[in-house]
Amino acid sequence: MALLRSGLQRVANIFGGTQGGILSRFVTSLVPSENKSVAETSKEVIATCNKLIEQNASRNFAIVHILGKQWRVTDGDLLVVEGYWPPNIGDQITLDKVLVAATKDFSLIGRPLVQPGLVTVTATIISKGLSHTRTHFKKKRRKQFMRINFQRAQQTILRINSVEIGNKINEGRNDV
Amino acid sequence: MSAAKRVQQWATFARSWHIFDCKWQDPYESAHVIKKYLMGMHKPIYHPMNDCGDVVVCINSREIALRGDEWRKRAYFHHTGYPGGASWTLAWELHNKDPTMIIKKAVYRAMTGNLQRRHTMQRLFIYPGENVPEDVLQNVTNQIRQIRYVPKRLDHIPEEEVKNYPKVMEYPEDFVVK
Amino acid sequence: MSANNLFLKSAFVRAPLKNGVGRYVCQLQRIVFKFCKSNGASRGMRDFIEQDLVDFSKDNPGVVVYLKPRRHRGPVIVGEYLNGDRLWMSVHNKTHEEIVKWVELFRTQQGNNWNSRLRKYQYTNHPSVQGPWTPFTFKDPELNTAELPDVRFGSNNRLPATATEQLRLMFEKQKLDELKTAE
Repeated sequence: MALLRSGLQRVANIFGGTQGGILSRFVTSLVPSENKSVAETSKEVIATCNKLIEQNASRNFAIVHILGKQWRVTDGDLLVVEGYWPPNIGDQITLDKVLVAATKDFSLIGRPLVQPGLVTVTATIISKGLSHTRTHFKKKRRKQFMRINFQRAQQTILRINSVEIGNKINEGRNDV
Repeated sequence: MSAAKRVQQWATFARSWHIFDCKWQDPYESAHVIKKYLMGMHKPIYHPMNDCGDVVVCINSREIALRGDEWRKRAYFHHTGYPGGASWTLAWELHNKDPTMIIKKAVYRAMTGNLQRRHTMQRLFIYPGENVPEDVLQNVTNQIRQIRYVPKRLDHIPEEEVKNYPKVMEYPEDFVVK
Repeated sequence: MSANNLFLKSAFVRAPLKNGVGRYVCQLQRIVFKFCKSNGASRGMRDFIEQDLVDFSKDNPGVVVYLKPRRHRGPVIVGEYLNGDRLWMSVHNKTHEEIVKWVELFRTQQGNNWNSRLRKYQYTNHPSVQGPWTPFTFKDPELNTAELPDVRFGSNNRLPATATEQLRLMFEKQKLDELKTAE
């Protein structure tokens, strides 16, 4: 046993040490502070998160994907979505592509989307208009080349009504 | 702005100090790393219009490593402005004159030439050796990781360790090392 | 080309009276169609009034619709919005379909934003929920007590193991195994 311990000591010396250890650069400083199994820890973390969800402790936010862009939204936000988009004014819609949902204390990160039914982001369309006139002016010097184009893009303004984590983490959907 | 918000602003835009060890590093490669810290491009709040650049302290600039035979081939050009005022200094000559100059010029060239560049350079401190003034060192809160592996010289390793190092095979007694 | 485009005002996204928070209110309050009964330029407008105007006002009971015939003047649409904006647009020689589209635009937009450029495409009262970033966010806490410069924090820790290091590891492992079998 003593031999084994001295052997281990030697390996530790190779790895560790400030200067001497030849493999010291492979040592990571992320040493777990408590000796707990991963399964146990994750169970506790999920329980804590579920409690926070139940208490509705703080403001939520979510990252949603709309027309190729990602937006960080929270209750009461205004978004301007550019380009053709069918929803009309006054429509209440649910934004389903949620990439991340989070509260003050924890984040649920989707891979790539958060499990459907877990988070509901609702929004109201409040305006569908056009942007200001954008001028595209091109000129090449000494080449007798000049173009000017004008364009206006469609702009839809959204009001985010709520970002809710409706279900509990690691539980089945309750709406199916 | 409330007091709490004001303090938050100071915390977010606080200027932090980084240290970088130039030992065995390629100055032209490391310049691109140092540049990011000097301009604050490593921060999520980066914007060219906000002042979020950090201070970088470079040490051991005497021990930089240039690639290939760049020490002999790379020339630094200077012109006095008068006719015949051009001069070319080779990298080794410049390094002998001022061991901080190569890294300084490398960082300067790594940044785009705008009005901000000279002010950004003011935040770069270079020291040829390991001796850094105490008032500079006490601000340092972070170290920038090197790019290259720093090899250890055989004569810098204690003799005990060399003797005990496991070998695949031993040279015969009468073997002559070329 | 007029200078209107070169000197644009800039603005931020906003919705009058917190529109959409509780319920949605149509922002168009009044729309006036000015046209001539005989001039050819008002042809599309007259078609619109004959075919679509009644349906339009039935679908939008909240919008006041005025018709204003005027002799030998160009056709015009004027919209007035809840936030006080007034939008005037000439529909000279526009066809029926074009006018339908423009009227739909007048109905759905929330005011006159034609001469202001949006600076941001999002507005939020809560820019940060989990707290703003500071230089010490996600930093290794060991840096607090470390005496810099330190090789542990300064050396590249992402380089692959060299052949020497791999050999050394294999050697040490072999030795340990030997020790274990010996015990």
